[in-house]
Amino acid sequence: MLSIAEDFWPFPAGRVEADGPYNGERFRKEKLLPALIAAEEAEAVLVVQLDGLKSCGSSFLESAFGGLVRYEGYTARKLQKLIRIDLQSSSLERYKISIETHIKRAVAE
Amino acid sequence: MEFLVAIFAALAAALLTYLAQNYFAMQSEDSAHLNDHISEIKIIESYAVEYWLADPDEEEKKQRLYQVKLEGAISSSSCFNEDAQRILGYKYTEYVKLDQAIFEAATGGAFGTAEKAIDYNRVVEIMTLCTQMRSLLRQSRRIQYMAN
Repeated sequence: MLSIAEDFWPFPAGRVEADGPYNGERFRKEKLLPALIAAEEAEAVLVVQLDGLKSCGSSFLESAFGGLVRYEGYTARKLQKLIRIDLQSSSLERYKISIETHIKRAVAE
Repeated sequence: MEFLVAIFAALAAALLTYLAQNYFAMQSEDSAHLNDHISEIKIIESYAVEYWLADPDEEEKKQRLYQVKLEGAISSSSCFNEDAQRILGYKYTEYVKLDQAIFEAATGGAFGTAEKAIDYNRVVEIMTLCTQMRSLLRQSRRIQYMAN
């Protein structure tokens, strides 16, 4: 399981390094991608935990999750099988929908 | 026998009064919740417009301030989502779509990035979506008043 708040930062923001230390690209490369590869090797589903997240822009989520399709060679269909977004609080539902939408809409570059 | 009927009628009346009081108190709380959320949408709109109209070259500090205010407003407004389905009923699906669209328009694109520039189109989109959201919330509030 990967918790954005606990394993990264509760207030992530921005897309790339120039936008700040807790940006989407850094989260994708340092946390999300290694966890995803480990889950793939174990033939498991990676659970991404949203609880604890205090604030988060759509730009961060697009860079982190949409970036898996745009830069890391994953397809939306594969990610839909590999990743499960988990949350206890319904107040975080919009982040979940945003992640799912960004994965679906992303186009490989 | 008459005495028992009188007691039963009094108990039934007390129970009905209790249930009615609870019902109207809950309706009143839901209306207050809707009013609060309408205010939250106004605040989101105000900060989002300021943020996306701020020139990063001339108003860097102000822009950062608007960004933090907008993040706070967006984040705190999500508390409504915990009760939204119960309060909004059949309008909930439409609400989720609008809520998501506001979130994407206000914090998407170059939000919080070094690439952020003035974005007039986004401002128009945010204002339109926020107006649609307020309209939906007011319709729900009206339905609640009619139910009372």
